[in-house]
Amino acid sequence: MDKTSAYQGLFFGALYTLAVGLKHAPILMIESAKQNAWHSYILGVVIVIPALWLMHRLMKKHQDKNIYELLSDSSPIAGRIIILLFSLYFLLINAHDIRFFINLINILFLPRTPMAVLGGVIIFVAICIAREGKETLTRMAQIFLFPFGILVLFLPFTLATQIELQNLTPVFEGLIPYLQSGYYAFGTMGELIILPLLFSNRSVPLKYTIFAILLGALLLAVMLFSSISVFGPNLTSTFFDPAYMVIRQIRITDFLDRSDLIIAAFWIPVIMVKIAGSLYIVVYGLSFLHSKIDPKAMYTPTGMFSVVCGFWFFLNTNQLIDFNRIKPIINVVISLLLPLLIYLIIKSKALFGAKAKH
Amino acid sequence: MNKRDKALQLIKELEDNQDRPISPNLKENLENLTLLTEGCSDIVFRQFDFGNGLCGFIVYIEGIVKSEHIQDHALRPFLMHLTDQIDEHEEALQNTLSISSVALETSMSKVAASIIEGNAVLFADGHSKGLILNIKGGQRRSIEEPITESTIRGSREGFTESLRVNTALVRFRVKTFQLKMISFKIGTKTKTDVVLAYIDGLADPKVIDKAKKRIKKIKIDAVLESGYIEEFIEDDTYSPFPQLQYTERPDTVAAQLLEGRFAIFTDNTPFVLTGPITFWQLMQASEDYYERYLMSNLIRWLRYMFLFVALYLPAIYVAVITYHQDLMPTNLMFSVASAREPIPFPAIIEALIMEISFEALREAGVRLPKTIGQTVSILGALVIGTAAVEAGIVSAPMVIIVSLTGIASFTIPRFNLAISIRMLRFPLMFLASIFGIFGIMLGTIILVLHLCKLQSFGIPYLSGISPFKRDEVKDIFVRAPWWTMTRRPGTYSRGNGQKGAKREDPKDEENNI
Repeated sequence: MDKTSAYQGLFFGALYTLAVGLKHAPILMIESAKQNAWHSYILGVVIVIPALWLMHRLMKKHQDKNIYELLSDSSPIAGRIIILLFSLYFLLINAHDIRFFINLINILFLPRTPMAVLGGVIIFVAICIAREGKETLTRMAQIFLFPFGILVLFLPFTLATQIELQNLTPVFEGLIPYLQSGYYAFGTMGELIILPLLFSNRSVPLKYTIFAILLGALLLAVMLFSSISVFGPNLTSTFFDPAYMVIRQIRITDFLDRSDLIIAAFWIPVIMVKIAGSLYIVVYGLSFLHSKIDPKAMYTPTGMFSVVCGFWFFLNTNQLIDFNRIKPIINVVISLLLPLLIYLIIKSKALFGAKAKH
Repeated sequence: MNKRDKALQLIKELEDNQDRPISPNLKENLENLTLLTEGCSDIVFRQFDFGNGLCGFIVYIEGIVKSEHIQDHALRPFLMHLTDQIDEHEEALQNTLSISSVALETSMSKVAASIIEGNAVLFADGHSKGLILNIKGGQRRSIEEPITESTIRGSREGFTESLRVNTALVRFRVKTFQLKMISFKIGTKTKTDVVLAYIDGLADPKVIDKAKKRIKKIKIDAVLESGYIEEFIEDDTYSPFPQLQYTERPDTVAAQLLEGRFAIFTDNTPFVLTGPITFWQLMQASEDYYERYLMSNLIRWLRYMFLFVALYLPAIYVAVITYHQDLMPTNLMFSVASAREPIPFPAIIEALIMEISFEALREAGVRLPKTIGQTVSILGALVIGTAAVEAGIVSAPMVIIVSLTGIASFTIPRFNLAISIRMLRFPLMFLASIFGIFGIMLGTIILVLHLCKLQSFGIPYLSGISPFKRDEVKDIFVRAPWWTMTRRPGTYSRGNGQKGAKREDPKDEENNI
């Protein structure tokens, strides 16, 4: 049986929001809220917390069961449909992340290596990780997030000489753009619904789930704060990759003027763990659909299918960015409406069950 | 049936513990034992007459018994008619003979086994019992300083090849009856004595049960070193990482027992296995705990830094030269480029030539006689390195990289981890040559994945960091002062987790006075 500690769940949650969230969503957030984009993550957090609270409220009575297990126990048909919807959602997320990761490696490290080869290598490693289960996955998250998180937290200090605080003013220029930025932030934060689907309340209690989202939001905000404060909102919104551009500004010494590649190298395992996590939850969800589905046999085909979907759904970087425009709408369904529906299904079942007994 | 076949049949019968009683006929016993020991020139049969019509013989293996004790403490009492009947009660014999222990045995198979173990056995005519005299002895290496784990500060005692000397060395340090020592005999031919030691109340009973079960399950004809046992009982035999630690130092074993681990002593080897272990433990040296903590921390950090150098430096060099030249500062890039200009090989081939040559030199240095081994390895490295650079086969930066890597691998305190790191350099170099830094990171991810799932007797290999244990962090990347480490590591120990109380500030005490 997998044993995951609350700390591991916390790190996994933070990693899941941070890994890819720092790449494309910030572009749209800066477009909307300009200099105020960095703290609009608060809105994203505020929207997601009630959904997470609802999920944990359901799990409170069954401390050792996660939402998937509760759903399959309480409502075999409706539960399976909901699980299928979640699986499709995470498949889509995975396809996006894989395509994004291939692009990143292609641009930063290996411009002449065919993308199909990169996709194959990435999914091979992701399959290896996912096959080992969530215990190993969360341990890896704990190990890899720590150094990357420290690097992100120290970013404003390493850029101290280049930061210009007037780039962050005026504060609260308008409510609508700010809400719009928060809406895009929700596109990233909504992915954290993965935690109650994977972990029971006993292994990762609500407190740690909230810490996870706060840590993830903090790291993302620090990254965006650094970009805006160094370049200013107008210049930052023109970048394809503000996070990378700000990292390129780091000059540790004259000796090492390409420290960006080293920091990017620390980013690789973080993204890889996220991709493996998404693959794991897709296969985990599929295993609930039919008792004869063997999860061990499903990782390779599902992984390969994710790569194919990555190339199929996202032809270029523009489409990857555009996906972040519609992702919040998908998240409204997956991260807000579905939890509400799950709550109603499980509560009504429990109510009818109790009445029948009575 | 010829003589040899008869002997083989008898040996098989005795090895299978088939009961063959000792005959009251002395001649028959002598014939049986002579047949059994046919061709064993080290077996001594000494026949004698007790003088009162009673004759007999004594049999033992020369070299593994204290032969002088036979004369003084076993034969003389008989010859002086102190004991007329040898089938007296054991207690009476014990009082008569000044030997640590004696026993009467009626089974030939047990008598044969006791001769092999280093006892002498006395047979007398008309008596269907053998008198087993415990006079085990023989020359063994005395206690010396452990060669593989020498320290500047700390005990100079090291284990020897004698099992009981080794267990005694630990008993000297851990003076409690909670220290249990469970004996096993492994190896159908060698019948090697193995002892599982642990401190009852500190060690996790589940882990101890697991260890006992795994040891009992070992089926092999010979155990000549603790390595045989290690491979039989480790969790993942295909892992390049060691899952048990071995040591020559009694203080290390004592420290590990006190943390709730177990130790496995094997006869005829000075290396004692300890487990369960974590990765971090393999980066700790005894001196970390004997020197003051500030110094120990600095040295420990140096070790971790060089662990990364040993594992990654050649791979990073290959990746930078092949794909990411822009990572190097311009001046350095020019000097490396000019050094590599005459080299006909790509960086990976150059690295492989040097790394494999270095490993070969190191291996030769270990195998060659001590007096010339060191000279050959140093001279070999210097001469071959210089010649290879001058001939334009490898570049000077590559020689520097390989030398640094070699030195770095020697800073790892445990040889079994150092050898794993040396081996893992090669796949990382290959990955670096194919995918550059991305390849190195892929290799790292696979390595961490393996470490995350690896266990030692059910204990996660990275325990302390992942899963995170607050108390254990005090002795992983840093070594906290002794007075703050008041609890045992919860990963291994069960029961009494308290090691000591927090130190009161000495200054406060002075002020009170």
